[in-house]
Amino acid sequence: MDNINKTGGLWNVVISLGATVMAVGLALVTGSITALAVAILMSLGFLVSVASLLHMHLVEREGQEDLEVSAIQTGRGGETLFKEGEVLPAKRSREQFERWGVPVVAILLLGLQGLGVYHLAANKLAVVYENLAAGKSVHLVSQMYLGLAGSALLAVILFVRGQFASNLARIQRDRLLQPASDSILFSAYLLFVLAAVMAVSFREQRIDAWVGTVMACLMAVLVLENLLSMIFEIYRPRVSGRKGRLLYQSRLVGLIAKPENLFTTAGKVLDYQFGFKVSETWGYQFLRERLGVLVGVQIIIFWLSTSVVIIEPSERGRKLDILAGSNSQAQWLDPGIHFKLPWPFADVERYHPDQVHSFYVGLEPDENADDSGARLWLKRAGKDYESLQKTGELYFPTGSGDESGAANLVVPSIPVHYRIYEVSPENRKNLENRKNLESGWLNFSDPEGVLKNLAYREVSRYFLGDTMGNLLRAGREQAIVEIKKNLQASVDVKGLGVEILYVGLADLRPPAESPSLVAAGGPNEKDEMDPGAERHSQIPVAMAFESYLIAGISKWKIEYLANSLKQQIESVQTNEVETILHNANMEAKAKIQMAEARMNSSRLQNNPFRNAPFIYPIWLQMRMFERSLTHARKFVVVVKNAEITSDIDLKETIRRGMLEVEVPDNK
Amino acid sequence: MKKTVNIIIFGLLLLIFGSYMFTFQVRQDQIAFVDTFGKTSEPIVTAGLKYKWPWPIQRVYTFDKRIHLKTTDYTQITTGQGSLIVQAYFCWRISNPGEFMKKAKGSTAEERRRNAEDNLEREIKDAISEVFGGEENVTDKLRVDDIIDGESGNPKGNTFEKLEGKILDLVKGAKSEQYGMELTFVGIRRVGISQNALVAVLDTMVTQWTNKAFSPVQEAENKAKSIRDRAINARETALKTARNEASRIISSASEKETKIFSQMEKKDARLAELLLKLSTMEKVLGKETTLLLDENVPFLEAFSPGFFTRVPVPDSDPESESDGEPESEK
Repeated sequence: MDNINKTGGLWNVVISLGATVMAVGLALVTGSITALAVAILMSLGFLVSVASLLHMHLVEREGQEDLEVSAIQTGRGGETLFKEGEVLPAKRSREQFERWGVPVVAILLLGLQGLGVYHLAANKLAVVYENLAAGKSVHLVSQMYLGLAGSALLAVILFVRGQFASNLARIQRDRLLQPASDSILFSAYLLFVLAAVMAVSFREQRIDAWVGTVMACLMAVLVLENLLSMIFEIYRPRVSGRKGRLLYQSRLVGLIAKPENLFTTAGKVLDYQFGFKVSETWGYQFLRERLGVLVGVQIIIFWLSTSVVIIEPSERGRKLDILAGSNSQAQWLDPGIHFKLPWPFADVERYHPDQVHSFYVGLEPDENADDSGARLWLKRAGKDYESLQKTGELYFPTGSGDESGAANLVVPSIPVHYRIYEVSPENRKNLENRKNLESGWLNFSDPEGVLKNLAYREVSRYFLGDTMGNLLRAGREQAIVEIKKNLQASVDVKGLGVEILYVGLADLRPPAESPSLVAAGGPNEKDEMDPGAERHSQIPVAMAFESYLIAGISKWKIEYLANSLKQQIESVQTNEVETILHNANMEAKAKIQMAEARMNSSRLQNNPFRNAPFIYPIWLQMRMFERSLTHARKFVVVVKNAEITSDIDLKETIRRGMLEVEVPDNK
Repeated sequence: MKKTVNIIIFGLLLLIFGSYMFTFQVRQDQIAFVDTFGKTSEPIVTAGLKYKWPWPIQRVYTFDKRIHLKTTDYTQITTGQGSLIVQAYFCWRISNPGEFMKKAKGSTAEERRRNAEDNLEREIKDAISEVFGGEENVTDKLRVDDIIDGESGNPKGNTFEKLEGKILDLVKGAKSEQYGMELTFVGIRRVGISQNALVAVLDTMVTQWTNKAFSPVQEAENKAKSIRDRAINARETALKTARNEASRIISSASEKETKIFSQMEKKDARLAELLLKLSTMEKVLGKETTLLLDENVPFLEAFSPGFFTRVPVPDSDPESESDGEPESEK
């Protein structure tokens, strides 16, 4: 029969209940995610202690019943009275509780643990991490003093009670007292962690989210352990007289509550694996006894290491020493190794004044997007594109360039690169009249936010003064120069101590959406369009603007072709005119020359003609015949007074000129 | 050894928690207040390590005295059928720490700072509505570029600087100083189209650019046709002129030729005729000529019967008449 300490179990329930109520109160007052996780885990511990007490009660009743049955059986007629054995109500109650009640408690624990994990992860941590990712300032913990004091006080109370109850259960071998005692001790450790979180929250609020995440993970592991335990319990062989494991008792909680058990378990495993008593060796015993010391020394070394500061080549450090008194000045640290008082007595803030920093005005590029393709205007791409489009933040108004039209809208993604002015001693002389990191940038609690707002202002201002048609075409280069110049002027006026290095307008595009798409609420809401609603154009604005640009190209092409044709016609015309005039001149010249030649010839032959009027004409005639008939085909017919019929074939056998073709010499 | 380490760790923990409970730090860029059972101390502006009693006896409120930034939400200004959204930002700092501590509500310094900032933001938003809301006719037409322009030459003359100046004038002074705050500057971060007007603007843009796309092509085609027609006309004119000029040149040459022929005729018409005929015949009887000749052709008379009987007897000594040979034979 089990040893029962029902009073101890009752105390566990009362203390667990009180501590859980206080933990819930702390979670509500501080608003801390860690405190909420601790409260959930403690409420689970309370449930375990109640189940444990009930179990104790039933076992105790069974024990009393056994005693009564034994007393009756020793008396007269006892054997006949209980011979069937089914009239032991306390025993049956205990058996029924172990068969049905314990699994129900375990399932209830599983459900509560699952709900706790879901609530922490989905409702609390997700929101906090989203805000942290968005760069928003987060305020996670309130009433830190109350939280610190309350959690520390509770932790001490639970630690004392948990240690006592746990040792008592171990000494008395009270297996039913063990689960609740472990839970109380486990809760005490959780509250110590919560106290540490509260202390650190004075300086770093994000610690609450980080530790809260660890708590949620721990709870998820508990869910898994609980589930596995239930599955193993189903397949556990039932041996008569052998007590089963309590389903509501977590091994993980027990291990965390009493880590020394880990050494015992590990020792047994090592003994079994190596075949000799490893757990009795000097080394193992030293490790077991001095582990706490070793961990403590590690912590001290780690703490002392916070007094060493290494400033990287691109960094500037500002040392703030809280023990230096009222005359303390922030001390600037150059790149190299430096020493300071350990945390939390001194702190070093790091800055990167000479590095090029950048941010985007408008749409930020999506880092996860595939950049291999062309970045087309009709492609809706960019970080948080859909949400920005729905809120209208995506669009920057510009002038339309049309007297009768409304403003135009563009979607910019403008990278701005800047550099904070250096403060090193050698450069200080050159920067006497200019704000720098120390005199400008650090005067603002959020200098980068101020710079971003100024950049948005200058971009908005310039866009409103220009037109979309100009910005997307010829006016881009001028816009870059003007915006950069204006932004630098604004930054100088505000005294931020920053040099604007670059403003890029490469990714400036018209809206990729059609009016009907925007009216419908986005690409996913197409089916929900009201058929009776006002009809809007289904042409995307970017496409309409592209058609305008294409029209410009077409215009240029048409004009170019027309001008080319004109030039061609003019060229032909010039040639034709020149040819006509040249031919005319040649003809005229030939005419005159021919006439003059004839004149000269006539003049030269006049004398012989006069002197030999008979023979000279004949001579001329013969010469003419000689020259002209040399190559002519001639048939001479001299037959007279004869009956002869001659058939002369006047057809040429070969063109005569062909016979005059010169055959090239093979040599 | 174990005891010593435990003592050191305990001492360290005591030191850390003790320092948190009994001290606080005021940096150069901070102002602090110590609240003792609800009674607030004078502001502590000197930097360094300060001492205090632990909670709940004393509580410390530490504020950053640097310039703070707050970006407002979008403020929608609606008049008539149109609307405009404006987002602004403003920078402020604590000018009167005592007044700031007194007016700001909250249980922590951060809550008080937020409360004060929210109060100022409300004043700024009211001022934005007042300044922008006066431009009624502009928002009716959705002409954002009419209400604000980067340059001073716009029809309304409302530059960013002017509008920011108006907002600053409305809030700076009494309104900000009542919270112990100094408004250092206000800026217009963005001016945009409200969600209601967005679809209308996009519709207008599609219409505007589609119309603009149609007219250039039409203009270009008309211009191209004009260019082609002008070029063809110019060519025809030039050719006509050239042909006229050619006719004139040839006519002129013909005149000269006629004069030459006239001279030839005057000098010896028969010879000129003979030479012309011979020349023409020589040209006509070219290479591709087939002739059917009989013995009556003068230089073929040798084929005629009795030719040799009719050979003439020389009249005199040819040697004595050598001077009468044609000049060309020489």
